[in-house]
Amino acid sequence: MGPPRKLVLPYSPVERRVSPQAGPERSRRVQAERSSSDACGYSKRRLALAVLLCAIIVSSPKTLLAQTPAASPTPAPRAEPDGVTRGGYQIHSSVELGYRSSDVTGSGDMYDTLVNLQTGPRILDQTLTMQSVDHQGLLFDNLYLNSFGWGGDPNNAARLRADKNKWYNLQGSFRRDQYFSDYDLLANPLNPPTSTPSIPVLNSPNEFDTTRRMSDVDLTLLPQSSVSFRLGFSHNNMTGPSYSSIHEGTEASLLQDWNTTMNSYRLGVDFRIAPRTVLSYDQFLDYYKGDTDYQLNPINEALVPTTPASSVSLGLSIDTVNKEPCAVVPPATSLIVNGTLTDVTCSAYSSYLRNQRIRTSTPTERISLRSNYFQRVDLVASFAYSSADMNTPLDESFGGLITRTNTLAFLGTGTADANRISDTADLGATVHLTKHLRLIDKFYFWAYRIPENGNFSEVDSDCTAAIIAAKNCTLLTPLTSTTPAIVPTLQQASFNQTWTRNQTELAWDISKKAGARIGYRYGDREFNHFNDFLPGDLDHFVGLEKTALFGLWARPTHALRLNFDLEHTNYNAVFVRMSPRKEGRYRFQTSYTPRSWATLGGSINILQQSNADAQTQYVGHNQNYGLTASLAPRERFGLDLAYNFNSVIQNALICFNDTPPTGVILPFVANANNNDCAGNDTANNLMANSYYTNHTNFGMAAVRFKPAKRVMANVGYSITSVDGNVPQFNILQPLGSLQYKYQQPVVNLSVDIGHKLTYNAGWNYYQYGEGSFIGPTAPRYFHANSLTESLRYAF
Amino acid sequence: MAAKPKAYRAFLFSMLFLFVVVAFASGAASQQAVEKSPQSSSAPVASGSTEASGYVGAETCKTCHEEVYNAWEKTPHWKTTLNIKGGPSKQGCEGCHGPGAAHVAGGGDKTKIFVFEGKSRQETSARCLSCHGEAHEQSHFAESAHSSSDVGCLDCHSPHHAKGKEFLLVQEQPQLCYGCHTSAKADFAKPYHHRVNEGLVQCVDCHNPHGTATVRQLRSLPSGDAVCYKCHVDKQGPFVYEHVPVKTEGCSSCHTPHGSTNPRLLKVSLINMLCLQCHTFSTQLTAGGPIGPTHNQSAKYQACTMCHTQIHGSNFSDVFFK
Repeated sequence: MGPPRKLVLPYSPVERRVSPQAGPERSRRVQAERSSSDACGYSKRRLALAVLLCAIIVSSPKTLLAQTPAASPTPAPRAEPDGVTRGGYQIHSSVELGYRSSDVTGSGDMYDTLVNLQTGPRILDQTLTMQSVDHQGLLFDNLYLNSFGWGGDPNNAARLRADKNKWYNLQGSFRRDQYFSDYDLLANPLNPPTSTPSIPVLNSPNEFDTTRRMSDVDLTLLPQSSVSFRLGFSHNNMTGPSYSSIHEGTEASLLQDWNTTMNSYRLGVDFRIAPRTVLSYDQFLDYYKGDTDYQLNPINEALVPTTPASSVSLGLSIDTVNKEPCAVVPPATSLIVNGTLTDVTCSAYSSYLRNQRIRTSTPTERISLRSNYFQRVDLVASFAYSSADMNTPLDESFGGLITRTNTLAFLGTGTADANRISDTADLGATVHLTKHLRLIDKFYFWAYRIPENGNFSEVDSDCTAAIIAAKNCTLLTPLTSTTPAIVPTLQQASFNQTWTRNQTELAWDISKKAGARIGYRYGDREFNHFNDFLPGDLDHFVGLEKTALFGLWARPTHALRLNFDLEHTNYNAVFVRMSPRKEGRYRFQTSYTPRSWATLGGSINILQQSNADAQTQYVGHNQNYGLTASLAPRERFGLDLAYNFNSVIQNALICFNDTPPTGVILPFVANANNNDCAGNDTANNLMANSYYTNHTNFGMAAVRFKPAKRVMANVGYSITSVDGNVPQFNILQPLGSLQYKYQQPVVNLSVDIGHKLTYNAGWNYYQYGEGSFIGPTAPRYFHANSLTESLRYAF
Repeated sequence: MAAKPKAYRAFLFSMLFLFVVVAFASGAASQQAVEKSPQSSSAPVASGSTEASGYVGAETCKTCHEEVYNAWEKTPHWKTTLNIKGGPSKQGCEGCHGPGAAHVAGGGDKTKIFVFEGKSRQETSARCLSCHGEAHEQSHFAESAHSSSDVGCLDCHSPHHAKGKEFLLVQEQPQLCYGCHTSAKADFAKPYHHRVNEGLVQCVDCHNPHGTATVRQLRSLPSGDAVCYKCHVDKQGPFVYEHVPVKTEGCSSCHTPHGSTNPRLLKVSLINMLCLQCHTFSTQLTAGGPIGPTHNQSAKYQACTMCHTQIHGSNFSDVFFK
């Protein structure tokens, strides 16, 4: 497998992929310039392409363009073109071709993590609609096709709908998501400057550069008949490289080339067994293939004096002061001198490989009923049975040295298999007691069990006792001096859960202007985890959920709408420590439309959670307050405003072990209670209230105006400002994305240049400035200009 | 698996409840005027032939409402005019507005026909659901949070003045949803978010605005698993070593699905703190629950996922190393 296309290894020079003057992009521009004169003289049929090329040329070479749907103001409504009538169809179509130029200053990896819009030509958008004039087309009556993002954007999609009256409905989509992530927080070993050598890990050891492609097709045959059929297929494939690590002696960096595929097949039939009553049967089959291999990423390499000389990887953690992977042995002054390892008793990797071939087959059958047959009752019910069967062989090999076990090599083989057998049932009934009073009941049942079997055998090549006694077990020790040790693992467990929930509500429409509802939700969960089926080794939990529900809605005037909802839940037990025993959800929403062109909105969402257990003391909330305004008093002018404040806290007692270096005082550690976690955990002697606070302000303003008859402009600005706090466990520890401002101004210009052509230009600016302590990692600040010019042809 | 008596009791209770309400409803059905179909509109309905029943056909409507008709003719609802089998009550304008003869005879008297404007959401939604309620997608609407909050079909769809390209929506997603769910708009503007604004993911991919059998109108897979696994297929398992909270508490115990200020949509910014908050001795759990790591936090191991890489579940390691 070749090297990852985009991932930047910590020991590699940081590559800048985004540059307006980069090779391919520059070549495209030169080519465009050469052809510009010819292109400008082309016939009308090629006018779109010619003007596009001209537009690119007239841009200054340093002009930067971009277009980001996320930061753009609400697009102005486009006038519906007349379309053409051909072959009995009214046809509308549009295509938007453009060129994007992006320029990044600062952390290109953070830009790619958050934005990832690169330079190059694009098919920005394409739409085709065909509608049968007499609604009786030959192959279809209606067809709608839309796609966007082709040519290199990180996200692109195509969606298709077609139907023919009485015969079929067809829906299809293809989506592609390119995911890049390099935030050096999730796996940073925090190599200190006091280590010799000192090799900071600037980029994330868990970088991702993967692409997920998802396709969905659903076809309904005879949709209006008493018996109709449904066919469906979904395909999900993820490929691309990423890094992870494995902990055996040291933290070896691993490279995995992702290749996972899920194929889902659906077959269903609907029977209209009575008026307004449909009985359905569905058969699903999901087939998953996981073919991702893990292999050694030779990071922090050093030579060992074998014959011939070979190299080993010391892994990500290089902290010789804390003997990671080992200390410097005098008279050497560094663990690596002139590229050679000075201590051959270090844990190190010369090879590692783990192959996986996961195969999971999941057939599911479902029968469902929907009925409005009775005048007063709406009824829906379904039952599904599913049985997943997973199996994968273990094929793992290691070469090097694990000092704690004196292992020079190991070979892991065996098989792993697990099943998931689940039953799902739901039943819903709405009874219209009177015209204004409804009783609503929802019942939900979900039970599954997951029997698990692992039968592995690891053959370890360990140094002999004599060699260990002589302290000669090193990276130079030949495998012939080892004795094989077989370590079997037989895992037989089962993980079972039964979950029942019933919700009953009484809804009262007091009048056309107000209504209320009150309800109660009861939940019952039982969880059993058989760890090895031996007596006394069963984790058994039973938890009850009791929730009070209340809601109000009001429309005092035609223009004003108010909604309030409340849920208050008590749990008598928790399954995991941080689950709440009490939970409250409060939601208030309002919208006011004093004029047809003005809409004002506001919302309050509050989630409160707590667990008062003396050794947990969990308190958390997520509070959200938002205001929006959308004003369009004239066709030539519109204004969108939004503000949102979000407050998050998550506090709980934790027990931990922390001994800062001499002379270092970490307030969180110094103020912790040194009581062995109330006598329960002597290995983690410190107890303290861990806290996470986050305050996020989001503001957005966008103005849309029409300065001339054929010109439409948008100017907008959005900012996300974050402030927060967490404890610091380590003097070098990055605190994460706690304080930053993320600003995104945007300007769009659209000019109707006639001949069904529209010239569009958009400028986006991105600025991400993080104020949090980043430790020995790469700075994350970046700002970027992105300019997009395009031509849209529509008829 | 062996469900416990409590589960059975709840199920039986629900079945009993259902039996009672169905018996009650069927017995009283003839005495109530709850509208279940367009035939039972506020306009007078007569039985018999098309003429006698008061239906005049869409072409008659067009004579006065030509502009509305011309727009409506381009929508999927027009094909109801071809629904011969369903009869006039399922056809054309009168499929929704009820028989129009009295309305015509009255010189356009609005009281003689079903006019959506001014009607309650329940009334207007019942009109739509008389046809669309049979579809699996809309089958839970009556129990949905939207319905309970007086959000009706016409708050999102417009048969005559749709602006969305699909489903006669009054506005394209996600702006339509943001109109009420303003907090979601801010969440999706956070640096780490699902690609909703970019058009890759739609609100309806995870939520069914017409309601589901579960809370928060969340979709679920046919197997009952969370909808997250529709895309994140490698996390679904089953695994030989399951990380229990992933299955019992769901993805949202560690992630905030709409958007987050933290990488990987995590709820807090420090991995070790996120893990330690659960992995600490607790008397409220059997055997004290999973006790935390003994590693010196000042030496290394600041991010637990440095070693526990397969944290969503593993087939080979009980501590999720591989």
